[in-house]
Parts: sequence; structure tokens; C-alpha cells
Amino acid sequence: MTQNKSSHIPENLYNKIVSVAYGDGSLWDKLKIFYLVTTNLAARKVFFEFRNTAKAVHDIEEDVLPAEILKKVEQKTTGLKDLENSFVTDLFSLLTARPMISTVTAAVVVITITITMFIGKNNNVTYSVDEIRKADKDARYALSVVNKIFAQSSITIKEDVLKNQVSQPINNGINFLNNLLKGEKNEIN
Amino acid sequence: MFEEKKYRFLIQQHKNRIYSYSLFMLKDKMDADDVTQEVMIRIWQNVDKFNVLAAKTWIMKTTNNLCIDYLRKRSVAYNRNYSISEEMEDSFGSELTEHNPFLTTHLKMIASKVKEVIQNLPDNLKSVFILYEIQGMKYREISLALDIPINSVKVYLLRARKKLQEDLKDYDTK
Repeated sequence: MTQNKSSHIPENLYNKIVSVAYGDGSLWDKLKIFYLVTTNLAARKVFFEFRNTAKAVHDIEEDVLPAEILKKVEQKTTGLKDLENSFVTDLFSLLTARPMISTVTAAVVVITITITMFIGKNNNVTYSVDEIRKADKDARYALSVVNKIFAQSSITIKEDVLKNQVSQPINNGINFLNNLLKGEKNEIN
Repeated sequence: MFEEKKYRFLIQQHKNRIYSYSLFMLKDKMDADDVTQEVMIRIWQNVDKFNVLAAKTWIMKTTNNLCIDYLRKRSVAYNRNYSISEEMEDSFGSELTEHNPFLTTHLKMIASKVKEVIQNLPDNLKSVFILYEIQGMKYREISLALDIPINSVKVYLLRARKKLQEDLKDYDTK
């Protein structure tokens, strides 16, 4: 196995330290390297050197394009005015650039439409007292049916699923292991 | 109308990315300006041909190709003494200056040193390093943008990180 000249750390391990220091690597690699860093002085030195550099690199910000370049491009392309200052463009960019924002926006739009439809519907229709009583009765009946189903499901889970389908195989497994261990013990004796 | 909106959106999204990448690659503000303009014109010419959400790869590929063309032309024509542009140096830590001038100066020095060392990396390592570490692109996107296999992206990235570390040490001892 090749070793890194400066630190006498195996090359592949050294590479993993570099990756983890830059925030890459799998969770397993990260745990491994963090443990190594706490126990091995050379690894710790390498890790912190790279981590400091990584931090400096990640702190570098993108340079901002000068406005005059945008104006020059305008003249050569669309003749569009005010390319850098458009509220619509900014809003469009904001809504489409980040998946999270797009999802939230879509959710807000759907909820708003649903609520509007619901409120609109309620405003248009008026119900008589009899109708409301009948609806209340129907709702109670529906809820009692749902309650019954839940109660039945709960009994089934407790009595059938947990007892027969879960506990029994586990017991069988444990018994089997016990028998095996007993057998081994007997053989040793 | 829709094409204009699409173009505006793309420019809004990628203008700084294009400019920043060009500055890193070319180490010259004038050339970076030219490349950025050229890329933006090409975006306008091709705006109806590509999908907005997948445009980043196309844009960075075009930017990279143009930067390579500029570097080739430059190596044939003349050798310049490159230095970090004033604008690049100015882009660091302006908010901190008022609070702790000493710290800000120190951070500015480190940042400009790191930038300078990144700029002096070999071109193939530098492009992968900038796209991954500074522009936050994924391995697959870089692979498509630079036309190289994903494994090469990973190898170049690792080499770039090691080279940067070595060069920073050399820089300190100078």
C-alpha cells in the first residue's frame, strides 16, 4: 500500500481524510475519519490543514458582473431595457431557482384555490334547519362507522397480528437460539 | 415574449457564475468581460433550444470552451504577467471592515492568497475545482459541462485539493 510522503498515512486513507475535510464522503467514512482524527496525531494534523483550506475556499464568493457589461450585451442582443432590474424577472427567478421555494409556492397556490372554492361555495348556498340536522345525523353515523372500523382494527392488531404473526415467530427464534446455545454448551462440556 | 422572459431569467441566474468562472480561468478582467458577453450572446441565440432547468450545464460548457479558446490564443500570442484583479480582491468581507479592521485585513489576505493559488492551478484541475467547490455543481453536471467521465472529475478534484494544499504551503514559505 502506498503511503503519503509527508505524513506516513496510507494513500487511500489520506484521500479519505481530504474528502471528509472538504465535507464530502459517506457517513461511514466521516465517522471513521473523525474517530481517526481523535486518536492519530498525524491524521489530525492533515485533517485540520485541509479543513482550514476548505473553509477558506468555501468562503470565496462569486464575483458580481459589472452592470456596464449587461448594458453592452443588451445592445447586442435583445435591446431589452433594464435587464438587471426587473421585478417580474426577480420574482420568476426566485420562484423557479430553488425547488423548496417552488414547492412551497405551488402548495400555497393550491391551498388558496381550494380555500377560495370552499368559501365561495359556502357563500352561495344556504341550508335549512332540517337539512343541517340531517347532515349532522349523517356525519355522526359516518363517524360511528369509522370508529367501529378503528376499534375492530385495533383488536385485530392486538390479538392476531402482534400475538400470532409477530410474537410467535420471535419466540420461536429465541427458542431455537436457546436450543443451539444449549447444544453448544453440552458439546463443550 | 416568452423567449425574452426565459433569456432574462437565465441571465439573472447565471451572469455572476459565468463571470466568476471566467475570471478564475483567465485571470484577466478584460478577457473575462469578453467571455461573459460572448456567452450571454450565445444564450440569446440559443434560448429557444434548451430547457431552462437544464441550462446550467450548457452555459458552463460554453463558458469553459470559450475560456479554453482564450487561453490558447493567449499562449500563442503573448505572455502576460498575471495578477489578481482589484475587483476580485474587493469582493471579500466588505461587511466586516467596519467592525474589526485587523481581522478583515487578515481574512482578506487569506482569501486573496487562496484565490491566487487556485488561479495558478493547472487548467484541468482548476476548472473542476471551481465548478465543484465554488460554484457548487454536482459531479454529473461537471462531467457533462467539461465533457469528461465522472471518475475523472473525482480524480481531478482530489488532485486539485492536494495541489492547492501543497501550493499554499509553498506560498507561506516564500
